[in-house]
Amino acid sequence: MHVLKQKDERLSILFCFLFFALGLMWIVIQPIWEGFDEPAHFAYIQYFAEKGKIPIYGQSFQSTEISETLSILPVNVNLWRSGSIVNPINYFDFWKNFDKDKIDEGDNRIKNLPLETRTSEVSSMAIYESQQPPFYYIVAGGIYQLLHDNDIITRVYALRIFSMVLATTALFISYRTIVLVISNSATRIAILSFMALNPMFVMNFSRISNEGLTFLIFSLFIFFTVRFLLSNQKIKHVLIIGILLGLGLLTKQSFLAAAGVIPLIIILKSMQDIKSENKIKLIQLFKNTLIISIVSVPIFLWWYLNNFITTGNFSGLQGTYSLTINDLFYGIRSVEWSNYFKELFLNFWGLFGWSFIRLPVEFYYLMAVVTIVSTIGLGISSIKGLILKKLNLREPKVQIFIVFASLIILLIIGVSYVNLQYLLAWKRQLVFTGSWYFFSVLIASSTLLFYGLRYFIPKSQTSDRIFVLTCFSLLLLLNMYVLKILSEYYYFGITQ
Amino acid sequence: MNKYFIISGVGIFVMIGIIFYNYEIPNQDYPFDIEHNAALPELYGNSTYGQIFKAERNNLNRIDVLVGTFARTNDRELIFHLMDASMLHKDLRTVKIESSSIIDNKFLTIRFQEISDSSNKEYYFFIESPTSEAGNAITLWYYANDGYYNGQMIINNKNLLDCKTDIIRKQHQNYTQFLVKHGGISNECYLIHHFKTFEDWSKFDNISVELNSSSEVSSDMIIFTQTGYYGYKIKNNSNLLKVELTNPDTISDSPNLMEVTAFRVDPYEGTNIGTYEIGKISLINATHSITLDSDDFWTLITTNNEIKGNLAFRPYYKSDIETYYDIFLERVLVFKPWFFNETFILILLIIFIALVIGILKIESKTTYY
Repeated sequence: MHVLKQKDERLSILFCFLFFALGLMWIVIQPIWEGFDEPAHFAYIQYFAEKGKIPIYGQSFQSTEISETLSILPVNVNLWRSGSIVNPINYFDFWKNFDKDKIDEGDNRIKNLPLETRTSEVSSMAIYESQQPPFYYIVAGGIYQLLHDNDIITRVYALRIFSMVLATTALFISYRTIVLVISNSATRIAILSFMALNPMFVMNFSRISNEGLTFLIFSLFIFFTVRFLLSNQKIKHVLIIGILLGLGLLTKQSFLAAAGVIPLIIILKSMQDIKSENKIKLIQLFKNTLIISIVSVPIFLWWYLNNFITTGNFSGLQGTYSLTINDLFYGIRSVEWSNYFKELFLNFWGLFGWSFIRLPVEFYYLMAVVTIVSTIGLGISSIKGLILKKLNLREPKVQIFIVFASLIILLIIGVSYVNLQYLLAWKRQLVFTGSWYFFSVLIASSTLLFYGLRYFIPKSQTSDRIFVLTCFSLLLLLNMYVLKILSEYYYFGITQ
Repeated sequence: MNKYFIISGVGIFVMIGIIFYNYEIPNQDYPFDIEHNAALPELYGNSTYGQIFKAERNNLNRIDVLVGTFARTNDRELIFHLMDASMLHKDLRTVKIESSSIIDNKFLTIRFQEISDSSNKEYYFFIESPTSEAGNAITLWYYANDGYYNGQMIINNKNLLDCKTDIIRKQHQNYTQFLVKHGGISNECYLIHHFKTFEDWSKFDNISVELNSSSEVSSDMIIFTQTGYYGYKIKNNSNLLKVELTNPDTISDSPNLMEVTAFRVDPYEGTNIGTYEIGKISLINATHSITLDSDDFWTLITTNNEIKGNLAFRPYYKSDIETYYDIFLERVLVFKPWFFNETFILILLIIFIALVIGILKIESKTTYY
């Protein structure tokens, strides 16, 4: 068994390296500022690193240095449309008028931008990412300081690489979690290949954003949650979960989904302890809750209080307000939910870069079939489990699946709630939502997806191998295909 | 060696080869005007939407057009025609497309057998859908103000067939256009048989231009030069048109470049002027004679429609791998940090391939449990 596990270990390490290598390819191919919201994420880091304080929405603005680059470099059409860039040039026009001398001149201009441009602000360009909690930006600010003497292009690309380092570490931790949850080694490798080679996933971490650190903290949080549920009651697990919850909430609001599942985790753990008296140990339950609260609240609370003082709401989200029950019902009635979930689905499987490049429509149909097949597999497994009485809520592995499903559902509710706020605040139709918020818990969704698919795979060495090789090959080819169409779009102006 | 390792390894790398084998380079000088695009009306019946463009490279093999479906599924057939802009009587390529597969507001890719010698030539393509009807038809997007000067959109080319009478000369930045003003409703249209030759014209006292048509010529012919209208108008009812130009040394400021345009005005209403062909033109004087074959001609046709602009379109050219990746490498490294260079990309590719092979190798030795 040890030899078998060694092979697994080697494969998992190679997959992590492959993920990192793919990330580097994405970093090279994606032009500067092409990552979702990349200028605003960079502006946050720069603001903190240069001024030593956290930006405030509406009062802090992007630097002249960023603004200058936006006017020299080709920028994506959607950024171009924002209207805040002086004389923007899109990829198409840039290559149309390709002129080596002009590029050298632009390169020189960027390299020789005075230091003052890093601290002077452009009042038309808000740092709208200032709504984000600061932990990532503080950490990335350290990397920025190390590279302070370099030009902005070097700083941007180095920060992208930093994102990939964080995400690769998180991927390795995720695999350790999969090993704890899934007993079939072929399914583990298939899940790992799905995570490492999912092009949306790689793209999401090959840009500057707090997603890399969120993924890392979420991975650690899930890893320790799983260990907490699988092992005997250990105070160190509870403490670590509390710390990770605090750090997560100080990194991204999507971590509120993790906060939402904490009570469930504690209750499920307490259910494991039910003995013959059929009672949950209330003291243990209370103790765990208290420890997690005591550890996590001091880490994140200051930020949310700071939000309330500076923006008037705890989330710090721009242009939002607390929803009344009436607002909520109005919003729920106003949204075309079928369209909303369709967008959510499409964006999850493939919406690339700020140019919003999509794959051929057939791909989404295929993914819809895969998702439906997996859901059927999960459904049949669950029903069988119930009939055979194997599906016991006190069983740790069943509990882990419940936690995973709850995380996904809470994230969907959270994202939808934020979108409802935007809908009501801006009085516009809700048609678009970013699905990259779900990638930090991809381990949860991919475990469920592959568990469902696994139901239909015969249990034999040959079918296991074919299952793994098919996942690996198809995902690798999908990645290559996406890189090809993005390269064509960015550097030749070819659209699909 | 494990059969799964060999099959999957070969399969993966063959498929990657296929994915990257498609080396198509688009026209860089294409219309793109993000803020001024709009949709044309529904395309059905006798309507045609088309575009003249100048090919930048050889091996023209694809044209993309931005299509609108009016957010519905339409099920009628579209017909794409590609023509040499100087030989409008026959299709070089014809492609039939099912409109049911078209996605709203996306570029529709139309591929055809490549044209090997397309570089620097003018082409005209148009799309029609005679079987479509209102409520079951697609449309095309166009740009009203895109700065594309190497061609223009043509709506309802059937009107071109009615062109006649007045002639207008238009000087553009890079070329000259000659217009035949249509006396009708809203169209101006143009038909020019135009050739350039690089001769030292100043040494000639007289130039005789003979236009030898493969079919009987029965029309008025007017000869222009790049500097002006010479007013030669000849009525001829034979296969040979002969035009005398005097004092050619006054024709051009550039003695080595002489541009002569032979312009035919069709006197007969409804005559299909697009079928007119010139076999050859001879430029003759006492001491010198050159012959130009029909490849030296090109035709400009345009209409002055109420809707002006260019279709949202883009031509593509099949490229060889070397040219494609030379261009790609040159561009991908622009505005990148110093540590991203060709060596870095090469090393990254080698590591990537080694990792893929490594994974397949270890996987082949793994026993699942």
